[in-house]
Amino acid sequence: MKHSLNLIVFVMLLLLAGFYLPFYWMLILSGVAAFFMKISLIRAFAFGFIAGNMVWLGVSYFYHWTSFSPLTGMIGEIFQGLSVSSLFYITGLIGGVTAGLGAWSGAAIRHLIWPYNIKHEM
Amino acid sequence: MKIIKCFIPILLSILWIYFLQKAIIVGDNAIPPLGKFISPFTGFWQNVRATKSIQNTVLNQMHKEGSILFDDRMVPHIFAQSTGDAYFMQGYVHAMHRLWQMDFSTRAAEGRISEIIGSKALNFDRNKRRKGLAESAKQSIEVWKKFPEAYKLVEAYCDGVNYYIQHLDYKDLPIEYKLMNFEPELWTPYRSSLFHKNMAEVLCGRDQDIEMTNAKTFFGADFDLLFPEYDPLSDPVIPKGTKWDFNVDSLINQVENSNQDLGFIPIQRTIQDPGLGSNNWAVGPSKSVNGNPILCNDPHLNLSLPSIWYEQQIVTPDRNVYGVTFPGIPGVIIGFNKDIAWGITNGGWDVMDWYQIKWKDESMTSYFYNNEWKNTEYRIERIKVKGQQDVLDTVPLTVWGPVVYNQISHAKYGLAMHWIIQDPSAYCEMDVFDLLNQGKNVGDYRNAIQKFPYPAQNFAFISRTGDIALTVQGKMPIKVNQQGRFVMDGTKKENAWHGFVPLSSTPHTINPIRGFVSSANQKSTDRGFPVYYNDGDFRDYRGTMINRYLSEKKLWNVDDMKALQYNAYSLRAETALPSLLKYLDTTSMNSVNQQVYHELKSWNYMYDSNAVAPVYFDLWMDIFHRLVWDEISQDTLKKYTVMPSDQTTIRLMKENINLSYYDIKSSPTKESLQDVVRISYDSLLNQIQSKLLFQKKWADYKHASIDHMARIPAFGIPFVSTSGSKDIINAHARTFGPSWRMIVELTKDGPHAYGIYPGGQDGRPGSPYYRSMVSDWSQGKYNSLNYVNTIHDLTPLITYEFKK
Repeated sequence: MKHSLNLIVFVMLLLLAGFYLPFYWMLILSGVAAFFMKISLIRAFAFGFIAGNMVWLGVSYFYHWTSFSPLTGMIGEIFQGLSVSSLFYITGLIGGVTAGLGAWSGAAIRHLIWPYNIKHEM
Repeated sequence: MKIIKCFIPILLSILWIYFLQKAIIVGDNAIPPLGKFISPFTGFWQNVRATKSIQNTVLNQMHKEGSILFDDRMVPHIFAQSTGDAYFMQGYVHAMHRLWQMDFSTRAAEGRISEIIGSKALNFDRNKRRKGLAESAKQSIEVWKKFPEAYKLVEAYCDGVNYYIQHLDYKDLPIEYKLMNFEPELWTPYRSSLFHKNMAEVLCGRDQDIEMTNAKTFFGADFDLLFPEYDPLSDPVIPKGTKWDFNVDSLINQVENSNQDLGFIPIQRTIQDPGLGSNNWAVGPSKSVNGNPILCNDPHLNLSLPSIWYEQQIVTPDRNVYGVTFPGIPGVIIGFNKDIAWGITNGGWDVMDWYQIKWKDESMTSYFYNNEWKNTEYRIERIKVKGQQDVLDTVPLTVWGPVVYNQISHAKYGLAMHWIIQDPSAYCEMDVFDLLNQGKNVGDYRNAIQKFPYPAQNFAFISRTGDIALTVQGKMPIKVNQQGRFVMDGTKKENAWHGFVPLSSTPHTINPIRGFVSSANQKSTDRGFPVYYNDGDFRDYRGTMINRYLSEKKLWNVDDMKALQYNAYSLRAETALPSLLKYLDTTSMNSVNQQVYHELKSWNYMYDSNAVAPVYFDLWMDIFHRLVWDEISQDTLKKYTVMPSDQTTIRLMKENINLSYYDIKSSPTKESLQDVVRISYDSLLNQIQSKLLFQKKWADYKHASIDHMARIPAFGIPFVSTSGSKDIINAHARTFGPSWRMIVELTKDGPHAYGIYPGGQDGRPGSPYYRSMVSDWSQGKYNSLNYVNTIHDLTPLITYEFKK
């Protein structure tokens, strides 16, 4: 339950950052979110990665399938003939890594200030 | 340890963001910063989304009121209370659908592409700047300002473009901006003028001075026979025998031409492939089935995506005009209103001349002119280069004009150029189309176009009252015989142009007896015109065919005109093929040989997409032509001079069968015309087999394409199957052809008009309207143009409201 809540918080923040702020804010906001969560470094990265991946992949998927635009295929062709699905994977991966690194950094700063006890983790 | 554990993810985060923020250079190409480009909130996914985001919009603009209704082909119909408001909205829709195209093409004219794509564009930029397009645009703006009313309208257009730009975020930018990683600049009248200069370069920025100079030296006494200025079979734009009511003898004081003693100039030739151009024609009531005048126009240009044209209707209290526009300048360029219609083709006069300069030494700091040494002046050009330091280029300037090429290895090294765009215009060119758009009769038409300076155009015209006319309009330099046909001696003052023909006296015809007017880039007049002019590299086949069809058929309707615009009959093949075939020995042909011969023999001279004979004929003519003129197809010479045209070659083949040039220099025996025909035919058969061309269809052989303006393959169309070729009415070559086909019949009930271009209204790749008309265009189909009288006559797909 707690993990789901954490994930929802991440997703909400990343959606907010996506619509209103430059893309690198998703890294900063992931860090802020992780800073306030009592989670391990690995879990922080995982939450960030999953949330970032879900948001970027989901939004791009939504745009593509609601427009049926040939532009996605054209972009793939420009980049060495990448398929449309490859573009989704790359988009999701970049979103995930960006948010994951941010969350990892946020959790690491928290652990530096307040040493992390493994028992906290449920 | 804890600090290190904390430091590692932070360091990785910084490096990651740095990586995502930076453009990555791979070979000659740059990948845009991946973070913002891939982000679904700002990057290319937003462009994917935007292709479907069509919705009604209300725009609150302080000073403008009106509506733009987009019909089902995304053609905007602008309804405004004043011309200024209409042009504001025109600027807005141009930017909405074609912003990148407008921006990129004018930056190209200005010589600023290196700013965007780096040093690989440096030579391109240097060339544009040395030719002085930007300088000329700056001069024009100063002239425009002297006509405040016209200038105000240009400013209104610019305001519309800028209103759109100012409301753009990165996420809204056309995809090309994101890929090339740059941003739009605000639009100004200067940039509209740059667009005009760019078109001038396309249409009157060519010459054959070096090629002709060398050919004259090489062929000596035969030159006039091989390079005639008037072909006996040609049919000029203005009917033969037209009388002219002025002369220019007093203007030029009988100056002797002094350009004939320069000898061979070992400079590489630079001309482009000839045979392409544009068509327009019009028939009066006496030649029309319905008794209404009909006008047709298909300007032939390089075909690209986004298309150069943009369809539009503008309705204000003083006009209701429909046609195609150039994104970048206000008004309708080719079109019609309820009273008149007009169309344009290129005049083709040679208005770019080259002068050989006698430099004092290699430093080019002074040169001999008019019996004295003059100091060279200079213009310094600072070229910004992406990722590198600025490059400074020093352009030497002479009394004639700039020295465009100063690298010793370059063609035209050290020559000075005089080009029409260096001479400031007396009018605001933008006024021309504004006046035409609201014209009502032949008087308005003549009055409007007389302000048009260059590139010289053939303006065809009809009016609802039944008048037809054609004017070759532009600044025509007054030259003595042969002046400007060759590189001229730059030491002699008298080699300058001797002024210009008054703009009201350029060649024109109104209501000719034959009942039709036409132009297809051929010679403007017969020899009777009082001023010498030479023209570029166009040939006469299309013009002759159009006039033949229009003369032969008594009455025409719109369907006939559609068929004529798509007509693929080759006069070149008609005149050449029987003469070639008669020399072949048909007694000992093998199977392939027989089939090829049969295809050629039974061919109807149509360059249809499925025909195979055009492939054989084109190849054969090419081989034959090179064999006849093998004297100059040797490697050492062909770089420097030019062969006689195939139009001349075909005429000589029929009229002069003992020409010494038929002998093939590399062979020990003496060949006759018949030998050359047979040898070239054998060579054709070899090529058909070695290149697997047997039964190859014309469209597959031609392999036409429509490229994206920035040569991004994914945004272009790699293959378009269509009929047509150079030198025929449907003049569609590989990447060049009818960029807009329009037919207008002016009836008492209003105009009935049809048109199409090979592209789509929305210049944003991926849009359903990006290339929506290409398929119909390639099949010779048309759209019925939706000319409406009031805002209530249209059921729009979407509406944009401008409110104060």
